[in-house]
Amino acid sequence: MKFIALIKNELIKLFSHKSTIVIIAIILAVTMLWALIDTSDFEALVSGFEDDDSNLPQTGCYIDSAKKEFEENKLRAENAGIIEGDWRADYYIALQDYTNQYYNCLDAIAYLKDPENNSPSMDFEYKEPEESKRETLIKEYEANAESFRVSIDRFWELIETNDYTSVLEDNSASAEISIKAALEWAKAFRSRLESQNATAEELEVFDLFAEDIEKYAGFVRDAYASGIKNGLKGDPVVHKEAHALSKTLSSLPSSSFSDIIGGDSFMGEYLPQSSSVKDKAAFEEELHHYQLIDADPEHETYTEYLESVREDFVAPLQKAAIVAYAFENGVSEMTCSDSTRNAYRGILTFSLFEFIALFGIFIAGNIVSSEYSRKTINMLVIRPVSRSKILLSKYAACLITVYGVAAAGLLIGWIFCGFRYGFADYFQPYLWFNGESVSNVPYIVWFLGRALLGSIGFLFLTTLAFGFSNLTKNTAVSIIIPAISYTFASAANMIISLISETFATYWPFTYVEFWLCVYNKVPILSQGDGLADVMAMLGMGAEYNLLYGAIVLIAFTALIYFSSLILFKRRDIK
Amino acid sequence: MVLEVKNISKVFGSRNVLSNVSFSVDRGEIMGFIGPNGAGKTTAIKVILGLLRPADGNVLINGFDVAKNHDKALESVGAIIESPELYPYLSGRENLMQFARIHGVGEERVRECVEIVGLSARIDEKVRKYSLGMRQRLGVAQAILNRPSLLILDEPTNGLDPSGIKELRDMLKMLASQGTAILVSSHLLSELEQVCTSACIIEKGVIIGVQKLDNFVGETAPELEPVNTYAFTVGNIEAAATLLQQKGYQFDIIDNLLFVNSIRSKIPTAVSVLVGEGIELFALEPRKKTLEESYLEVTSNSI
Repeated sequence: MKFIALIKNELIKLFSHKSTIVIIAIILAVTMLWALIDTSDFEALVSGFEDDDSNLPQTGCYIDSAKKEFEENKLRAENAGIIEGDWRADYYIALQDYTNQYYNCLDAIAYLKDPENNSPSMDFEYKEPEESKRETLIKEYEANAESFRVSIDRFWELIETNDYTSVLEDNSASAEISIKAALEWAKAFRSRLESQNATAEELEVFDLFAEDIEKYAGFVRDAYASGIKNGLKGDPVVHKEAHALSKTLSSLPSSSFSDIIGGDSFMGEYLPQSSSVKDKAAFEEELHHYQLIDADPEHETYTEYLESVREDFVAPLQKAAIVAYAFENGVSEMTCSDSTRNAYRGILTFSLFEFIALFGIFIAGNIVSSEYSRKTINMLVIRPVSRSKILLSKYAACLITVYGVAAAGLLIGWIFCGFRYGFADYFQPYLWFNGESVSNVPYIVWFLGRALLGSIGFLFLTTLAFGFSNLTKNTAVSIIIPAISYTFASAANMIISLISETFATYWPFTYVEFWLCVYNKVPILSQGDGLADVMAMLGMGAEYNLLYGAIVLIAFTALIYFSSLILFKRRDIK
Repeated sequence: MVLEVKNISKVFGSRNVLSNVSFSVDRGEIMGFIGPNGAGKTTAIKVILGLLRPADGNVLINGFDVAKNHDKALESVGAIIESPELYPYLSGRENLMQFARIHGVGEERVRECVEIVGLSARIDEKVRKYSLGMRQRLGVAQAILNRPSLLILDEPTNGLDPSGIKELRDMLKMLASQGTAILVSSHLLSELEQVCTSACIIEKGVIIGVQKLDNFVGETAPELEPVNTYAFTVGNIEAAATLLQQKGYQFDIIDNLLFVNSIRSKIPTAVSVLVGEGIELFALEPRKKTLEESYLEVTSNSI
């Protein structure tokens, strides 16, 4: 009972400060505003669709025709009932771009045929075409113009019939080309490995990679088959979701395979000359050249390289599996579309939890030191209650306050994201691929679990400030040092990683923004800045994972708290 | 004994702040804790209350060792240490409730204590608006919240006006009459004298005397029978002085009075000597030493 009384006392003291109430109000207000305001809406409201006529011919005989058709397209799009967020908006934007390019082709053809009477088109404004190549260029431009015209007509057909099934059929056909190319590449590359005396282990790893490519192919084919089979005519909402999934699906081959097979202009038997999956012999020669391996090379080096290539393929494979499941079961996948779920986790991880971290530092940095500075510590310690309970009650009050505000922020974000983007999306499941099949769980269950896991980050920071508060008995120091450490953690961590990977692996600030785990990311090397990419390319930086990060953070949190407890119990209060 | 302090020592760095300090306070006793600045009074009080850990010795409150059984030992202790610091952003009532909750005491008792210290009119104002005297009263209120069996007050009259001091004095006497053991530290010896039943004198971290205020049991006066002072009004003071000196009596002559320091049983003999030699004796009355006189005497003897 005394312990409960102590916690109650601490909470009363915390909330008696106007500054605490003001800060909480600001955090919740910012969360609400962030949830409600979508700046892309403002842009769309101001400019409508991205009608970029800056690339229309500015000179030549096609200026008027180009502008006329451009404006006619706008009217035609309005008549087709295209609205913001409609899948057809993408095609309309592409169509307008193709219109620009079509007329530029005509302009170029006119100039090439009669340079005396036509001003140079945009392509030749700064560089005259060589006389000997004029005929060839004319043929190329004519072919391109024809191609653009065909595409424009095709797009209008799709837009005006609102026939997304046809779109899926088109995309399926494109995907099939990439998939077949990749599968043939895999066969060809295996043959090359065998001819270069690859070891059994190396072949095994590559075989697993080739299996992944086959699985991927299966998922992509299944996804399109489901989408086409289900028949998506007519329903704009379903179209929108399907379009989002399909966009994701169609980007996967070019993004994942280009890295592996060197561009998406892969043709059948052609083996790429430049590829990030390096030719074994060339790779080992490179290692020798840079003296990274001995005269008798350890084949594990090449094996590890193949394993890392396979790891890079995990993300697109997972995505393909999930999209296939989503198509088949008529659910939406949150990362593919502008879903409420995606917006919610974005707002909360990049806004709320960062504020909560600083709030925790502020609260905890003050809670012990202020007793010393006011000398109220005497009145507290002479009560019939142990010092352990006194300190624990303060710590508990900090955590109750911080987690309470986080929960309030989550709720406000939930409500206002729902108002902004729609509540229905919250009831879609969270999907994940376990290596063999796709599983699902209610989104809110997944999110709360991840939020709780992610909260380990601000739990650590709060405890750190608490420890400083007890150690230094100085509120300013107890707030400033943890706040600065947190603010500059990214930069410091990069440097530490470069100096010592081992130290970085055990350093808690490496994982301090642990709430990024809602993006399945481990902090630091996943923050997307240039240096992290360079480090990844060079194979530098420690291997981090969520479990390890959680253990390090919890261990340091416990260490700080129990050290503080020992100090508080033994300290003379003068 | 409610409070037993046994051979406590405390060292700060290389400095002995307390050396072998021992004393005790019984039920109903009001002990004045006296010493010059820096003598170690507040340090001793802090050791008693568990704020400081002694290098040696221990403190028992109601039989419980403060170091080993902190919660039970301090269960029925109330204290003010130096100036009572309270939370300025809370009201007086809220401050008292902070401590009341820990002691398991209800709002009714809080009201009672507020009335006892005379803060009812201002109790709901923020403490930052209180005067020094009001804060002191609030400090007293928090000290008596749990009806303590041991009350420790360090300079409790700080900031109090004369009426406040009297009220405090009356309250202490009332509490003592109900059996509360009280340890009061103060520089105002005249005030302590009016309320204390005993005094403990400390200097340079060492207890140099413990005095019941009727007689003194100190290290410099180990007689079994206490020595008191008797004021003789005589006709021939010089002759009387000579006679008493011959008989071995200690005396002082102040303002035409002969102050004889003697045990009670030897006074009739002194009277007989004087009267027998024809010296006129007009009046004889026992005179109690003030606390200040006792303190100064003890501290000067200890030098």
